[in-house]
Amino acid sequence: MTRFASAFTIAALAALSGCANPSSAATPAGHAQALGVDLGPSGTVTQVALTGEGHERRAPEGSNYRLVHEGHDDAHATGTVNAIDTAARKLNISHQAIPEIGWPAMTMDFPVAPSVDLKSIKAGDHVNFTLEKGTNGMYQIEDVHPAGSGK
Amino acid sequence: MINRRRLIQGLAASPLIAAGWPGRGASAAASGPILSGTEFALEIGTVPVNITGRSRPAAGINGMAPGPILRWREGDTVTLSVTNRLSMPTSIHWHGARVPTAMDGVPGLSFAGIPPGETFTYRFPVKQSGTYWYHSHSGFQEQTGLYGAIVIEPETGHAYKFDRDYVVMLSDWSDEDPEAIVDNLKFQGDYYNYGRRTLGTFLSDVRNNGLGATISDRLDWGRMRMSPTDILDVSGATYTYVINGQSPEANWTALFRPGERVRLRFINASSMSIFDVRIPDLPMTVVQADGNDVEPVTVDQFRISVAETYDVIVEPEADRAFTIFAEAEDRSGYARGTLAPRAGIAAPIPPMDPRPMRTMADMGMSGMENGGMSGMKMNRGSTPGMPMDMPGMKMDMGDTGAPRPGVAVDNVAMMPKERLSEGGEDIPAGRRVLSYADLRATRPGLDPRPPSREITLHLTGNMERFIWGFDGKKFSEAEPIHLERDERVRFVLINDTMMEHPIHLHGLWSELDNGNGDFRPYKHTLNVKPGEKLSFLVTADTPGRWAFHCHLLYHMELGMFREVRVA
Amino acid sequence: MRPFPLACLIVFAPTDAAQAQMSMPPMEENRIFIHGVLEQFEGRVDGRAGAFRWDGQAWIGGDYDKLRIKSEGIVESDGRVGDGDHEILYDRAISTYFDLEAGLRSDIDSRPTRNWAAFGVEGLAPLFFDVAATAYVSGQGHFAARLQASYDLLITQRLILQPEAELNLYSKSDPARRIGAGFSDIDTGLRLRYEITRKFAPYVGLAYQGTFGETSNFAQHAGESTGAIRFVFGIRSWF
Repeated sequence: MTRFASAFTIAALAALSGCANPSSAATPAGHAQALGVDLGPSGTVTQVALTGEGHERRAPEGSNYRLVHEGHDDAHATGTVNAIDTAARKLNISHQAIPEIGWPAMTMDFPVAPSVDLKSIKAGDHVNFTLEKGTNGMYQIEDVHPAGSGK
Repeated sequence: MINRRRLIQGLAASPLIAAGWPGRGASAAASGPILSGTEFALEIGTVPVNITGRSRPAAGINGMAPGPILRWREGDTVTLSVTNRLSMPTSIHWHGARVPTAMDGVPGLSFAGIPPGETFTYRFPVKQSGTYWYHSHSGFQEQTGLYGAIVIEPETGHAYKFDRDYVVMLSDWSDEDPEAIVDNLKFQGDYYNYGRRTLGTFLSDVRNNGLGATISDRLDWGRMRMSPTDILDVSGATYTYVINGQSPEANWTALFRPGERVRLRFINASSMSIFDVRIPDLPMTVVQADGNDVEPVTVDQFRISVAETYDVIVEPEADRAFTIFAEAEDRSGYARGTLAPRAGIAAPIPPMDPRPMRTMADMGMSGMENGGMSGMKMNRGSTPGMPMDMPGMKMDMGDTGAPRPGVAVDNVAMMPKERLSEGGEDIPAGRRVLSYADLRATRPGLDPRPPSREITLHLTGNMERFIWGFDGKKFSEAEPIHLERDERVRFVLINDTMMEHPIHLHGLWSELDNGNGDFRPYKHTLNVKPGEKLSFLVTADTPGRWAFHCHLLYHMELGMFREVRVA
Repeated sequence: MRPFPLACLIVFAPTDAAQAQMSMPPMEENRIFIHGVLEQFEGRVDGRAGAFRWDGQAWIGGDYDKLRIKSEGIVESDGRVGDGDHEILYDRAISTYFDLEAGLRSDIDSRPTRNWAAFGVEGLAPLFFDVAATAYVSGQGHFAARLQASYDLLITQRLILQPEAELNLYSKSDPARRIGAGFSDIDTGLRLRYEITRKFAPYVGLAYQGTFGETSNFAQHAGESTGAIRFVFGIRSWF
């Protein structure tokens, strides 16, 4: 039944389109000039754009996590060292939440920057440490020392 | 869908405000206006189009089908008043935009739709940048022209330099009524497949592969009652493929000066068509996928599935025209445009690549291509000739929701596999083709947490009856998927069908697990290949009822749809 | 399991109209479809006499449940209508490729009418054979069966050769209808169609109408042929 209604409608529309106003401002697609519209050049490419922020500028309201980095590239944290891998230069740390970069409390591995001396740290130490984004975008430990020992 | 009383021609009366930055838009008579600023008035109505030589009614916006390009700026709050002048309810969904659920435009989940004669005002902050698109989420209006591009300027400026910037929106147009298309497919699932196997292909296969191998192959597929020629459900038999609404004959043209860097924003705004895109003699550097930055990767060709977007930069040095060539995956037609240093010239149109054929890997039976298929029935969990004690060989009914063959399920992939590094079939030597494995985000993800649980969904269907769903069920037969606010979840999709399905989750980013760890790409639409198993991570950071569906329009409308409810 | 659109409202228990509208499904997946097909619509000629033959069916329903009507018959050149067989069936999809059917059959033609209850299966068998097997029971406790099969061999994308056959069996002979017990008759043909469009395909071919056993005897006694090949030409169409 709908098929016949559609056929009738199409026939009626075809008839109507014949007596439509020919002086329309926008011609139907297919008759229009088929040139693309240039949206314009990029303008200067800024350093901020290249290294800038995550997939969104502002996290949705009320969410419990925030953008990983909102203009900061380093963060300070406190935690307990669980394990040290001197050969791979990694520390496994159970740390508290890091609000600067929007991280909850976690236990995870961190690569350690070459400049850091691991000999002063042992498993079980309570430490303060500084995280900085390395060239590959991963956070690594730039500085670590036992908590309470001052900088 | 069609206004029987009035045809709207030309621009609607409502003023279109361009505020914010100097007008770079063109007049309406060129190739469609661009609407910029923060306040938009959109009027949806019936618009006559002529793409095939026959004038047909389309569903347009402000007198145009496809609709105008909307230009937003990241950080602004945009207000869009959408007035419905059709005689059917309508809606607009901002595909890929991270908006509050009430602004997402899905009738029945976000709001009640826009009834005829009414105006609905969308208002939301724009918190992202890149190339996106918008389309109706009501009925089959998307098929009849109710779609358009969204370009969001980044707040801090572009990360790449380019001298020109064009939207290249691919789509499929049929003069047939979409209701008739569904009707035809329900009677005959391969109604639009004019590439089926014939006596001719049998004879040429015998010539190439020998009689025994050919008969064995025909028996294999025949026993499954499937055809390896099923590539796209609706083909060039009814479709004319268009770029920005222009047929290949109309030849949409973008101008450049030799030596310039040109940005092309490819959008697949079609209903049912997957395209393989290439510009012969001009490599493309992919810089964004689904609106998000990816590490640049230079390719000669990419496959863009329905609803996906890819932004590429090309640098044509020579003072000549180049053909932008987007062939339908089943090679039943192509969309075509031109990049030229001046209007009126064109480059040769290349011959289409060979038509792909489905393989046993597409049936989820990888590793079983060489014989061993005889006597196999799809609704048994074992096969003669395979060791019975192989773990995982029996169809694993242990995973919740794994379907069994039945009225709504014609196949269950026995060994679904990872196919992320595949970009197409039978790719000629020397042609670099993009795959999902190549997409690496330029910045690590926003949410470093591992997922707390895994949700597995099977993509299922019955080609013969033209039934499609998830886990063998249509939308009305299934429960919503409940996520907790801020939960981090892994979705696993297993494609038990032998066709690609572009799966789209509204409102939340889908972070594709493709081996790049924290640099997994953020996408809104994931093309799952036949027999493939892939996974993606979601942070359920925005509450609401979100649509989750296959973006092949006729699959979605027939039930391949779920609600993801974040509360 | 059968979807029922109103269930959406019940599940979400809306308290007002706006809520009811919000509960509406985002798409219509339980649409009812109507289709019909005339597989045979042809003239049969053999130089002496001609006949007109039809065989088609139509249905209305969704993915799981349909109502099907079938009809076939032949009009001989002398105006007699034979082989009349009209059925109305409830059709239920039971597996990927097969449907179960149950309903009524009425043999209405120039000979005395017979009525039967019908039960059968219909669908797509492996190797793409369209098959249907139906069993019938009459009010007098007689049984009958019909077996049908056809196959589409694609010569080209539009030129299709279709062998098909329909075989009838009866448990008891029915002299008034010139039907013998056992295998009674076969109507089989080879048709070559050209699909101008999918829905409109003219064809030519050959059809053989044959009789067996007692049915053969009835035909002989009546001076009719017991088996004849005729040239056919017709149109296969559907909507």
